[in-house]
Amino acid sequence: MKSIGLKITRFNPEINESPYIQTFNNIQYVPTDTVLDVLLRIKNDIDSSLTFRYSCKCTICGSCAMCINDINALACETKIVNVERDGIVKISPLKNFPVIKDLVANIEPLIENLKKISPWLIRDHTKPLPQKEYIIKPGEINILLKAIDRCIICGICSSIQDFNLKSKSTVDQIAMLKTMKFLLDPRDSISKARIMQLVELGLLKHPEECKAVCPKGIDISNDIIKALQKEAKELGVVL
Amino acid sequence: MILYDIVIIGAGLAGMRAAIESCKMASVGILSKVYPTRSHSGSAQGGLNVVINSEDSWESHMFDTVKGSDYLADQDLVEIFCKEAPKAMYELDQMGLIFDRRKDGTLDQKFSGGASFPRNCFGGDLSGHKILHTLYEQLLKSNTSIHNEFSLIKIIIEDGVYKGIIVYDMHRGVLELIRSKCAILATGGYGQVFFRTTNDAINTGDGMALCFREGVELEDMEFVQFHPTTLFGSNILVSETVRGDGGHLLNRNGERFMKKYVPSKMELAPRDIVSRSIQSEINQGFGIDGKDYVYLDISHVHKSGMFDVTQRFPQISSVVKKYMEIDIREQPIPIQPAQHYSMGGIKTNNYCETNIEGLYAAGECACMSIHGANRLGGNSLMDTLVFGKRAGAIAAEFSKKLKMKGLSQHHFKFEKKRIYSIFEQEGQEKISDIKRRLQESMSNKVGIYREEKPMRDALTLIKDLQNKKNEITIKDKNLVFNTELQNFLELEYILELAEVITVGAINRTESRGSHFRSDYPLRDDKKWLRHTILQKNNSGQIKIEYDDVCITKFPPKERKY
Repeated sequence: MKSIGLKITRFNPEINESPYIQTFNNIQYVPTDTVLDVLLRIKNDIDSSLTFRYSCKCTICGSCAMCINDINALACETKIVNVERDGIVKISPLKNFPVIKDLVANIEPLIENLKKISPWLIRDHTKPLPQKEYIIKPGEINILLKAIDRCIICGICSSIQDFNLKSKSTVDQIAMLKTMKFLLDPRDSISKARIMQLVELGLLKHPEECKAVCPKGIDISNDIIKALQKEAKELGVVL
Repeated sequence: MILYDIVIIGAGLAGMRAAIESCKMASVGILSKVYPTRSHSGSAQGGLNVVINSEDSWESHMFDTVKGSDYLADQDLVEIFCKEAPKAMYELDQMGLIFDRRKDGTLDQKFSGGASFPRNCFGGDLSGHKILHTLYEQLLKSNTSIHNEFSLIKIIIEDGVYKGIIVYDMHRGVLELIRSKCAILATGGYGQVFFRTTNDAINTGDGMALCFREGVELEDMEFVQFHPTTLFGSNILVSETVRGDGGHLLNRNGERFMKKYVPSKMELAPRDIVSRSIQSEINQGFGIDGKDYVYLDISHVHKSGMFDVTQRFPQISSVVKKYMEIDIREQPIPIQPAQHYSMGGIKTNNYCETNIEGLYAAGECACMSIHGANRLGGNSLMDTLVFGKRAGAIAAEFSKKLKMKGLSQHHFKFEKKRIYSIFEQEGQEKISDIKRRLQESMSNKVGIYREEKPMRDALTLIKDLQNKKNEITIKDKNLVFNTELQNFLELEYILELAEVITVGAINRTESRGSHFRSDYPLRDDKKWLRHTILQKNNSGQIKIEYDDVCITKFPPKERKY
């Protein structure tokens, strides 16, 4: 057993005026422990009021996204040994979202951003629905579509920096990612309209780079933002 | 106060499917204790059993399901289920679900446990995740009101009629009364009753427990599914489809031990049998290094060049790498059985109705029963779709026919008082300690192999812990996002359900499906071919009654594979 110190940003809106940092020293851990394991140890044994979200503990639910040593990541897959610096790990809520309590960010803006596009399949209504499944040849579902389909809406890609204020772009990574999904889906029928919708929301004003590390390995900068901007330029979408 | 025609509690697959259906005809609100995309349905890896190949038949799917259930499933319902499954599959495809396909562009299918035909449609090992997100897209498209991070704390029933619910809005930190003409419970399972479980932390059986508290009947609660292959230690699920693609189970001698138990099906026997076989190997000292795990090996399939297992199983390969530092292309996976699914639940009839007017249930929290004493892999996701839709349609029809009924004023005040009284209780007990003691006892004493004496001990402990929970001090006394309060309420649910499960398991003096009694190792159709109905009576005692099993096409036979 080794021990570590955790500097955790706390905030209880019913008590505190602003967030503060609480240090928990000498927290025991083993090399396989994740940040979530250690947070649970604190909640179970030291301070039961510590508030954070988690559920699946295996990277599929996306609840435990938080800021760990200035990097937004899932607590359930981040090993303590990989993030401790001189025996200290700093933990705060996901950046770029309002805070509800302690490590719980208000991710409603994420869902609102998602709803700005039409995040559902829109098929070609001039054609009849197939009697059975759509026939989709293996090549028509490409690797990128499969990768995007692994998105768990954890909010990490939306939390890297305050894009919206800086760039006046009101489009957010999650909306772009979902749009890309439907552009790649052969069953969807409104590619051009989807791109226009994004351009209207400020796609071309959006910074090209997203430094967030997607826990599902999606290359947000190249495969989503730049690819969509290129698509928009090629289509010559003008507002 | 919030008003709807229909309120749906739980936004996993069953809840969302019910909402998408019912909102076509009624005003619908749906609550999730988390966010819909964070529901436990997303953890399901294997796919959906569905007959869409002309060489397959619904009768065959039905027979496999009935046999898998050890003849406890209600056959009229299984028939409906198998016949409606293809439509449910095609609907998902038309909603934009991305599932694996064959070269000709049609949906691919493979074997799952207990199936006599490869009828499992899948999306890699992310089937649940993909369906969950596809249904979420459809939910956003619909005119359903979505309440994220709303936790159910009370179901209001007056004179046998459903009247409304009280919820804890965690974000705003308030209790809310929601009145509706009817409610559909889709609150999932109770895996947190057990120490070793594949279930998420949120799976605390809220709907089942709150129903039981109000006198709603539960059914067959003694039937708890233990999944054979979960990661050693963390109990993260490793899908049955790994075995469907040729994965081998190996003991410490490198022997495919399933040949000793079920030579005809080997690794693809139904889950109850495979779990018992693994546990039996472990008990005999044939676990790896004599410990409580065996190996699941898929590396030979990778090496044969049939497919890249990391592409076929993206989630499993990454999770096993991440948490065990094991490369499934090269090495076997250490696995052990763990609690996975509840066959039992809120008793519903063929129309998803409970014994309370206006109260419906669907998905894992419900017991119709199509899974009987043991569910087949690939049948639960399909269950949520077929019966989620059915519950939504039936509730919507019902809500069109009647007016909102009157409601006494006192419920909300009473509930508020109850919550504040939790803040006032004091003592030295801790939520985490009580939970752990309960879970360990349930895994050890009401697990894969059961016997009267240990189960009676477990029951004594449960009763003791039910009292001890009143000596827990809640440190956080504020209502905004109070996870400590939430965890306390959840502890109450699992303590209540643990008692019901154990009482049911002690009562059933036979072995059937997942329920194996070492002291009664045989199935006893004469006495026990019947459903257990459990209800709380006015004095708080558990009353047990029985219900006949509906048998139509397949009279019970010895269950031999």
